[in-house]
Amino acid sequence: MASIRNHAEQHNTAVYRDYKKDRKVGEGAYAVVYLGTQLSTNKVVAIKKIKIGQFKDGLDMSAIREVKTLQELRHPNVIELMEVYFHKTNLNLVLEYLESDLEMIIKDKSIVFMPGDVKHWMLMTLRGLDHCHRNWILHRDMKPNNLLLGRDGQLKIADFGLARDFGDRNRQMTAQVVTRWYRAPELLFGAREYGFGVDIWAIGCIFAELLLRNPYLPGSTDMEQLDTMFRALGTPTEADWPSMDKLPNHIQFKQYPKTPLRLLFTAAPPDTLELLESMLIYDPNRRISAREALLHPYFYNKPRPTPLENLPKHVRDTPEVAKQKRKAEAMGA
Amino acid sequence: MSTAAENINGKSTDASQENTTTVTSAAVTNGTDSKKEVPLKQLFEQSTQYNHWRYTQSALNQLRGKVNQEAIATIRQNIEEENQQRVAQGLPRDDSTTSLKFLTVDEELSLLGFYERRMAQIFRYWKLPSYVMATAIVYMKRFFLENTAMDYHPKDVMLTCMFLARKTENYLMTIEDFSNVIKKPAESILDLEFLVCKNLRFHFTVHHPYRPCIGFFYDMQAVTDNMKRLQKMHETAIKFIDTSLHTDLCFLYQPSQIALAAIRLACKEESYEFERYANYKFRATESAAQMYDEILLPILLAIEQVLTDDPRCKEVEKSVATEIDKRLKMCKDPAKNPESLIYIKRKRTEPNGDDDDDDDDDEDRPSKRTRLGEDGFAE
Repeated sequence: MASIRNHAEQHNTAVYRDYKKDRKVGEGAYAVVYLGTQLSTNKVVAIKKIKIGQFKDGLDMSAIREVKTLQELRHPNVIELMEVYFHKTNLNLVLEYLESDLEMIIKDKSIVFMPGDVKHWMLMTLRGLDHCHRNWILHRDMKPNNLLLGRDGQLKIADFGLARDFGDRNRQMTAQVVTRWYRAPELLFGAREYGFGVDIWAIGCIFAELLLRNPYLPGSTDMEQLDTMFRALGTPTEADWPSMDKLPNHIQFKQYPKTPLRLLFTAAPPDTLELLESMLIYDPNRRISAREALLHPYFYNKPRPTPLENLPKHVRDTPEVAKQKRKAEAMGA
Repeated sequence: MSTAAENINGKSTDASQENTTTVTSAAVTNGTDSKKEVPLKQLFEQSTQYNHWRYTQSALNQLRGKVNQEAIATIRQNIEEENQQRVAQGLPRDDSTTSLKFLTVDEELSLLGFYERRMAQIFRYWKLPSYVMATAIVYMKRFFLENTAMDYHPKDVMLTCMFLARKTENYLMTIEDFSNVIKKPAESILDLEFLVCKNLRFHFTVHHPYRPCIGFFYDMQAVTDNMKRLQKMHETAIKFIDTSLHTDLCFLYQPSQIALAAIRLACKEESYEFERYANYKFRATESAAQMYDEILLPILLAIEQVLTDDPRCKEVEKSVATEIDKRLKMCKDPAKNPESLIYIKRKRTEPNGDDDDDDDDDEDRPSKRTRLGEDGFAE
């Protein structure tokens, strides 16, 4: 007999039984990702298995951050968390499965990007991010690798392991967030209070990377990151960014001159550069917001964003094709 | 933060339409080809709190009654089974349990109220923002919607909820530090974490009235001529919100509604004129005034009634809690006692987990925490 007191348990078991893990597709420090199937619908899913057993403080913060934020976010450009269940000592997150990500596409040099392609990817990224920000959630790890692409061309923001809610004053947050190349200057200066700007800066770097087909600001240490940034965009002055010297780790830097973006992004039209520039403003208070960016003329002006179905796709070989290729290679063909 | 008033009219009435953000932008909409107006959904209506944890008072009462009855029936049955086992093994029946007085729903709620205030005390000692405490309390309230104190003792569940809330609200304390402060072994706190998470349906975000209350406070500054008294009123309102945590209000109304009711009450108590703000904010046009009078005001009055009349707003006497606790010790489920005969028997006959899982390779060493999920569900 169905019992109310066992609802939670019964639900967990039912969810667990509805999914099958098919094969491992990735492994990270704290999770293993599987390609799986939802048995009731035959839908292909990704199952992220988080090994709780090894964390001494129980459910770890990344898992909590990811589950906490994704449960509240439903948007076409944010990855959908379909279910969560425990099995043995593991927490399993059932997520939408997407074939590839923006990093793969950027690196696949056989693909030529049209301006409309970049525009549509930026559009989808900003829509997803605006939804996060509207819900007072910071992603804090925006990078091409975390922008997944579906077979239908949809882009979805993924990996919310560093995400958190924000917006209250005097709430200290860690500055140790965002992958270095995409890290905003205020974070590099150790800011403990920050906002939307950190995600926007990262998107600016991604935008630039889409135009260049290479990482825009690739520093190999935090110090070098600042140097790379200042060389590219000029060292900020007190007028550019008032009271930046109040930040905990602020250091005086060599004064590099500001070079106009068009010298590096030679093929980009003015509206593109204008939007890019407004994302890469040093003063986080003056940096554009996701909402404002969506209203920028760049998105109205021609060329129109490439229709979803025409966006370039990174074709990953199916296991069968890959096997045949390997066989062919082995035979010296 | 956005002002609280944004969500105040709650349930999809015309009011929410009026407050809905409308953005004119080809980019913000889903179609990229045309400029059109797309209303964005109310944020609160997308939350897990709105979609999964809203009840009417009668639904709450009914649920609690059922859960309580079911628990009692199960425990009775298990006690009988335990006795049969004892007899089968040549042991005498345990007759200490024949005249058991099980806990009623009201007694359970009193006990919970007692432990909720214990939680509040500890959080005050930690000097954490109120919402961390509030999240822990709501976790425990949600947990005990489908469980009874006879299944899991609130004093244990309380600790896990506190530890978990510190994590979900970004005030992580290591388990060592936590167990040192609480003076309870780390395992007892961690062992319930899976169970609590499952019962919370992995919904960790909880919205409280504190934030909208600040929003209203800022907003009211636009029409005040006495900042000092407004400030005083705000402090009193926060006390009403603290009290609201010990009632069912978090299941019945939206945080912004509770906040506004707390403010209205505080205004009364501090002889501060509420109407001036209400007229400015909610009654500016005829249609708005009508909506306020017909929809919002009755909600506020209902909340105020709970905040002034509900016996759960009062502290639970220690002697009362001790008496309930004493009886609770007697009516524990033998199936949950690892030393009982039926526990041992069921453990032995239990199928060996769900080992049809394909992936669980090397790292899935058996651990003592493995049993947790399966533990304690007798039926």
